[in-house]
Amino acid sequence: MALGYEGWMKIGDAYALGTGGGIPESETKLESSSGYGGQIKAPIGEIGIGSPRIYDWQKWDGSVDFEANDGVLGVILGAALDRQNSVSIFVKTRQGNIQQGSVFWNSISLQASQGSLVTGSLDFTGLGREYAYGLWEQTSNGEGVCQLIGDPIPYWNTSVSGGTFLSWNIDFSQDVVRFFTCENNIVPVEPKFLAVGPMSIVFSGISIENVSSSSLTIGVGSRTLSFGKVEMQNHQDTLVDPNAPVVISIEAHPYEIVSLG
Amino acid sequence: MSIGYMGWAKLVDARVLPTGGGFGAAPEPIYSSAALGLGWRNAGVGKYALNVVKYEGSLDIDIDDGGSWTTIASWCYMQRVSPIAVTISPDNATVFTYTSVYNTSLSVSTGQGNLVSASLGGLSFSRAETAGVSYLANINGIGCPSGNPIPYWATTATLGGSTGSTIEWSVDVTQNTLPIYACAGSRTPYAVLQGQMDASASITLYSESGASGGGIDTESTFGVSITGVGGLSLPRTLIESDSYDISDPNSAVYRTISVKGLAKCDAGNEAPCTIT
Repeated sequence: MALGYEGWMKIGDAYALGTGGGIPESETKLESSSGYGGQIKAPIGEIGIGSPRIYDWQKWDGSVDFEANDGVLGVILGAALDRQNSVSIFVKTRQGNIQQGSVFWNSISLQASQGSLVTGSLDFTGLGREYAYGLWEQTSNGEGVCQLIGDPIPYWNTSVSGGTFLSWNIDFSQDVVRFFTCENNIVPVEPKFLAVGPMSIVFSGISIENVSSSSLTIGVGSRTLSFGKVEMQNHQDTLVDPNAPVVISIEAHPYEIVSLG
Repeated sequence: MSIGYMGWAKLVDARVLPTGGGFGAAPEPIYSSAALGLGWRNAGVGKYALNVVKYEGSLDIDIDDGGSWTTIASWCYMQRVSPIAVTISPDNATVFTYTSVYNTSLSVSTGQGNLVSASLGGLSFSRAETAGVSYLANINGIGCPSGNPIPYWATTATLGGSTGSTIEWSVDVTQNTLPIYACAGSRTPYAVLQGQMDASASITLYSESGASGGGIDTESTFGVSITGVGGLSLPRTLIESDSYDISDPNSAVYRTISVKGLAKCDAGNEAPCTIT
């Protein structure tokens, strides 16, 4: 039986500290709302279940979770600005398993909190995948990718401008929209166009000091995320448990990307 | 190589009578849980990041009348939010110097036939280490402490409302110390805060005519006096357990009462445990 340690992940050209995710395939049904009508009759086996339906083009939307390392940060921060191009995802869950495809990201998130490694996730819209099931037995002693995977980044090797943060989270999101066309085909057709909607960015964090700034710079290891036109969205300074630190919870929305890299 | 009698310890400049313990290193690296493509033969955690290095543990001592109690009272109660310097040498060869140790707990106890002893919990984020004195050099070290230990009979402990002779007693204080680790580009903690003080005490009583616990559901005062040293007081307590059980045929029958110390929140606020 295969165990999780046999797996590995690559995002773009960077080997990732993958902790979860893959490229699933899901069928899209176009269901009629007409229903069957009529009355139920015996025998039971003749009773229909579900609605009249026809299958549409498949979806390969999924997500990958990872502990951030320098190589992966380089890839995803580059992808955040290179929105019109896809990113390759390669996931191997067991020996011989292959799940790979080119995907467009729906959301990218990074977070850090005291005592933990910096973690992240990438949600994506895929247009297909190459898949091989692979083996379910322990037959191999690994593929030698371990040494190619960069080291994780601890929470303390991050920083947020304007305050002393115990934890922080930043989310990039954008809609990836498929456009299907009516072309009188007898089988489902792949999307005619793919488009990405406006990008939005949300920063949230728990700070010891009060924070009020129109700019935001986040350091993650050797990488820097710099934003301008930052608008405060939510600010909370509440009573807490007697043995918990009194902190300020902040949500802010940047409207300008100064640099990512 | 060395033998235990060579060890010594100081709280700030006060020599104490150490009987064991110390503040050991607890680096607690942060280990990755990522899949690394490893095979069954070599599978294991392969990636990690360094974490804050902390030194924590407890120093066990016999209480003495040489002045160290004043330092203990200040460290654990009057100035409990402030760290003190502690120096410990387990063998007189290696000396550990901690410049800032926060108190995390205090336990003081004694009973018939024993000395008054204490366990001092501590947390530090730095330590200097020197080594070099050989066992064969017969170094006299830093000499004997000036204070002498305190026997059980030189103490008194009372629980308001109870009757009987005190056979043994203990007081435990926990500081609920809370280090703050920040995402600030440094492994050094941002701050160390002391949480609510939790205090509890226990007293074992004996009386030929029957020991009284003083009644449950009633607030009372617990106090300890240590002759020539000082004392501990839990000014407002509630009984949490009261055990007065049948005993071994050849043993005396005792009544053991455990109480929880409460903060006194009236015109004169007081801690759950005051140390003088």
